[in-house]
Amino acid sequence: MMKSLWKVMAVLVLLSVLAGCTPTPPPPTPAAEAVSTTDEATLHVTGAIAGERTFTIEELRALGTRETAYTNKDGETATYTGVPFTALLAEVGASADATTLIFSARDGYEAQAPLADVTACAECIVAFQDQGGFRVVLPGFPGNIQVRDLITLQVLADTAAIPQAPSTGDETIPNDGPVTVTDAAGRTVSLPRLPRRIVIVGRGPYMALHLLYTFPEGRSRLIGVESKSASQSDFIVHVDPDFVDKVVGLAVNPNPEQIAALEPDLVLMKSVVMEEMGDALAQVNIPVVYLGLETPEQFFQDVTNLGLLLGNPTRAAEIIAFYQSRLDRITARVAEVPESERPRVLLVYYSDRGAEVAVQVPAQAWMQTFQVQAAGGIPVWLSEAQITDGWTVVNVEQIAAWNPDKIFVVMSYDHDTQAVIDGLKADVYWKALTAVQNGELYAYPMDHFEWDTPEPRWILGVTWLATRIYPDLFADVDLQAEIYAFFGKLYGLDHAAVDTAIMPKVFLNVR
Amino acid sequence: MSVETEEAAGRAGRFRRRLWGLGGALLLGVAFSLLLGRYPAPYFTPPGVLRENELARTVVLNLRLPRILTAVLLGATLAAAGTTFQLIFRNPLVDAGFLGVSQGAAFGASLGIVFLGGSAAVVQGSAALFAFLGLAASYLMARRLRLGDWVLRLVMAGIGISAFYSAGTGIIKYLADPLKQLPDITFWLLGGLWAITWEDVLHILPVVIPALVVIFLMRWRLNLLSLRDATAFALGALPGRERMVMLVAATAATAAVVSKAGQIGWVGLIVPHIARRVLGADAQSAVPGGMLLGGLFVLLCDDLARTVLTGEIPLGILTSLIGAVAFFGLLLRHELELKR
Repeated sequence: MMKSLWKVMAVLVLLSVLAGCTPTPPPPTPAAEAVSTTDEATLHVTGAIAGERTFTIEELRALGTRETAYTNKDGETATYTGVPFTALLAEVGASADATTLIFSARDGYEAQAPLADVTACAECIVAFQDQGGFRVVLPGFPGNIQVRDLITLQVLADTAAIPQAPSTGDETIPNDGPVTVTDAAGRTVSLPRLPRRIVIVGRGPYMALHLLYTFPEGRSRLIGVESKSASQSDFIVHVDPDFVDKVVGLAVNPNPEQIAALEPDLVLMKSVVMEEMGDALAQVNIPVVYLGLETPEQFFQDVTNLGLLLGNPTRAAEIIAFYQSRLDRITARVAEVPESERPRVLLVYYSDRGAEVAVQVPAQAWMQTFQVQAAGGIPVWLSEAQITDGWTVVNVEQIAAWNPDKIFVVMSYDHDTQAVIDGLKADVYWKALTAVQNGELYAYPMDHFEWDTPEPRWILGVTWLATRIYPDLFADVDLQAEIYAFFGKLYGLDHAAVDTAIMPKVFLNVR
Repeated sequence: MSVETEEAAGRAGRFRRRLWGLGGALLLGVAFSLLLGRYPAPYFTPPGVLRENELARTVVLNLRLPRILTAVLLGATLAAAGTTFQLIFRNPLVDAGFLGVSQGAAFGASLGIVFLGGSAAVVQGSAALFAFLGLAASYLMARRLRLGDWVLRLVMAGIGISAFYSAGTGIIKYLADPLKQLPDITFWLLGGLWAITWEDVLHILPVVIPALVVIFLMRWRLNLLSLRDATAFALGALPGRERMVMLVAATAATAAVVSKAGQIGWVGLIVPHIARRVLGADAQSAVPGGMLLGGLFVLLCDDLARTVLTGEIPLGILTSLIGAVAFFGLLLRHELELKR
């Protein structure tokens, strides 16, 4: 015990010395570049290290190898040869404030592990695969991080530890503008320098808020948000405990002068219905950038725009790569299912306002429709739906006529999910539906916020949906691991933080 | 000079002084409102700040001034239209909402928000279009009805058209997305002036000013038009045609302001009554009095709407609340005077 502790200490000292030698660690490289598609077996190491490195098998072997026995979840034990992580991390000069290792596989799969746990484990190796290439062997760690066909190892510094001084507007920013973006409303917005004081207003401000917070700069430069209701800060305080003190909450529907009172140099808003606001704010020279968020294309455009506006396009590329890798995995597998074998899926929004139950189907252009299509389901409701915007009420008779194979029910967070599902299953009309009889009626998952909404969580929604539409095809997808990866990658929450802040709110299997 | 005419002249002089007083109060109100706001500090903006702070100057010139002018125009229009409708229909309980104008505007706006993409121009255009369609439909229906006199027929047709539009708005609200569109419809129906820019003022001026001038110049005819058709005709008026001119002027002005400001309730109903309490029932003074009072009333309500909180209070809520309180206050005071 003492012995391994000494080893850890020695490694840590070594790491910090090495990190101290390097004046400026290079910024993390976008995972997009990292996901190499070349066939030569090389391992790319990037992130908070002395300098990016690409290793061939021989170069790795030269660092010294050891043998590790690993027993997989089926109880089969195999012995692997490889380079200990301790040796590899020492070689690349991992930064002292590095906290997380991210493993990226050739197929886009990503997993992460706390750096300290890995360096504390002498048996943990990057192993050479018999068929060529590398894999992660971490005895005693969960099965979903034993990544095969490893091509990139990223060392991540603690994003939450980035100092966040309250924004004064005088912050010095390298590459400080001018910047020009084309926003979701198709307007070209030019700023003479990067914004320091950002305000979010409009409908569903939490959607824009959650996206802005995926950028460390977003956290420090946000100064005000509309209707900072209790539920709105439910999630974000876990990412930024100072949120409530730091960010000014505007009452509902602030007018241009009330927004100007915060002296913002950029206003972000989602809803295009409120376009008059942009015109009115233009009168006092406050620029507005609209966010679309409603489709993946709009979402990626929004992320790219925020990357430009916050002076961190690298982070934008990283976020897009994270989403793309997950989308690609789903698309690739679903593409093999012939059209005729795809389940017919119904997704409805459930409301029981005023004791009257209504179910509604989403517009054709909305995120929910995209999610079902991306996850390989055939949306049955398109003929009844709005084209661009809005929910449409449908009755049970119409649902019976569609006779969907699977039904997914979205509801707002204030419902007792299980009670709603049980109520529908007991309903005299609903229980006659084939999907209900086959046990294919599911509540759409959420944590603090719903996974079907056009906010960053939509990728969790698509992934979950794929596992429910094609349980066999996606049997290997570990949704728990996806949740850890999502909140780790986007919000810098570590395993323990996700366990305390997110997991208690999550349900995945209410049916 | 007989005692009666002397009394009438004295009353007219008193009313005239009150009119000048109201006009002065409105000018003071406008000047005062320019210094009320949230930037740079909540509530009062000292004039000295305007010299030093450029943004404060821009806020006053580009946000507050057009908004204040629109508030005054809005109040004047709704009150003038309300007075006109009440006199023409010989019914103290009607206002512009009456011939399907307001309901038409609400329906048009909801339609614009939910089905036509919801851009500002579309919502306003659609509101104005359906307001006029409301008037036209009420008029055409009234011509086909076979009961009572013209006023009764218009009233009946207006009620029918309004109900039709209300149902339509209800259907649209039912179809609207509760998270994204319904709040927009609700906010529009409650009304507000937060989005007003100089461009909007320029859009409504060419309609509102001529219409108000027509109502103002023809105000003395309202006394005649409020009589029964036969009596008015005997007194030398052409009731049918003149009534139509006044109605179109009132509707056009209302549609123009409502399309920018949304539904502002009760101004058109309550302000004419207050004006008549203060200035007498003679349209000669009640019409300009109503315009001034309406302008002042909406101006003060809007000052509260934009200044009190860090978010906008819907103007329609304030006009209803304050209007109702003022109305009761006036009624009760009058009753006490009578008892004395």
